[in-house]
Amino acid sequence: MKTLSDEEAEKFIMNILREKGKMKTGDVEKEMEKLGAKCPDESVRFLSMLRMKNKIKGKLSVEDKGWMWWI
Amino acid sequence: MKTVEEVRNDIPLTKKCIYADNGATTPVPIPVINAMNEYFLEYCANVERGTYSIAQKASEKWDEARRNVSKILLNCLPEEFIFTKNFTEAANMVAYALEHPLLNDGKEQEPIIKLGKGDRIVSTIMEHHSNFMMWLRLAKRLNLCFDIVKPTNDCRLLPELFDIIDENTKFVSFQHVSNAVGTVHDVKEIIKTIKEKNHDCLVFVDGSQGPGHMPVNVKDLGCDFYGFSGHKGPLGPQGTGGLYVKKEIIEKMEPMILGGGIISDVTANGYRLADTNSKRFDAGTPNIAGLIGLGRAAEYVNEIGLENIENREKKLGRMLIDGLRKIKDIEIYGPDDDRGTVTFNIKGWRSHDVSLALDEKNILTRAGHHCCIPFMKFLGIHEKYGGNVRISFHYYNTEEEVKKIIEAIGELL
Repeated sequence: MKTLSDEEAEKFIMNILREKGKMKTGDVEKEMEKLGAKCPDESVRFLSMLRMKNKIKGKLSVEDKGWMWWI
Repeated sequence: MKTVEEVRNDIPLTKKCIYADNGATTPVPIPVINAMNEYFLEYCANVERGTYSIAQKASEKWDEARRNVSKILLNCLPEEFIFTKNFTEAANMVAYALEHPLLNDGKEQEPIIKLGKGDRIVSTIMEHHSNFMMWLRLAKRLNLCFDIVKPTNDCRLLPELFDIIDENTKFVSFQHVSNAVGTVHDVKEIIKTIKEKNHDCLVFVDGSQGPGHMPVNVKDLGCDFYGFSGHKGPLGPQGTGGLYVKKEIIEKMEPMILGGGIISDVTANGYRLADTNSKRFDAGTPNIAGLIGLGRAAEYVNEIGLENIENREKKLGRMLIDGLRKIKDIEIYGPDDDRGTVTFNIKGWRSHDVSLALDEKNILTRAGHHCCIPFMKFLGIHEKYGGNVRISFHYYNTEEEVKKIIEAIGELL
């Protein structure tokens, strides 16, 4: 599986969240895997970093058993 | 003995969060920081070189650090102890020396152990990558068999699992404490079994999660090598660690890195290494401040009392295990022993999602594969959970913190 660069992963995540709306961490991973790719870091750490940079939003959802991410 | 409150006062971070990621790295106490500051401010000179007074003081402090670390953390002699930058470097030094016989006085010396086609190296599926990849590479390079021991269902390495050792087994490497499930293995009995099967087989112990968390006596364990990191249990700074090598082996050990500070003579045709074996591994200017800090850190954990640290971590770990067992949908890994590191998953959750959720409550944990991908796959939790969530304690954690952790995990269900 190809590890994406930071720029590639960010672009991919932004596009997929724009297209699909709110997604769980595992679902973002699955979308990446479909392309034979993975984040340069653990997905949730990478997503969390994008949240800290205010590029995406994220919130814990106990009902969904994990974090939800969206633009 | 230092009280928990005294230690917490020495580590300001403990007032700002619940720090439960001591298996990865530990915050450094103020007295250790002060020892490093003193070096930078009062005698910031190179070691083993200058004749002026502060250079001599630096060399004395450097030697004192080696004496303290070797004695307090491992109970070995300074001559048997090599400073490293971490455990990983320690393991790689040994792997290098197994592949390369010592070159000294222009001549290749007898190898530590003769390795050839058909010989075996044994490790375990529980090892983290830093105690796995270099042995795998060594086996591939020298065309050796690389055999893997698998643990019991409750993640123990029992001595009888090492019955596979035979006369062709030249080297065995395994962990003292699992960083991924917390098991503290009976290293002494395992080594006894290995040596009974083959007395000449060399044994390397990964002590990444051992020294500083508990008393360690390498002579009593009977190992040939024991490596560890300074920035975990010992409460030292990052970039420090050490390696014990049995005296008769260190004399034959080839340094991985050559350069200034490790020789007695150099000519156009060869070189003669320093006569003090442990100083053959300090080529170039080392991390002087960090290793002086590690020396002070060894004194510091000794002031707390290593048995006190071990007993307290076990007590906190037991509280956590008992609390987690009352919560439905929690999977706990490892044996039902009292131990300072506890790992778990919540059914339906990715491990990193749990860790990030706990961070929202200022509880700092580690999640993921813990650099143990083969072991996570063996446990069947690599794909399912992305690893597991690890809570690892040190002396300064409190019962109140454990209660808050259990409560916070319970709120996720």
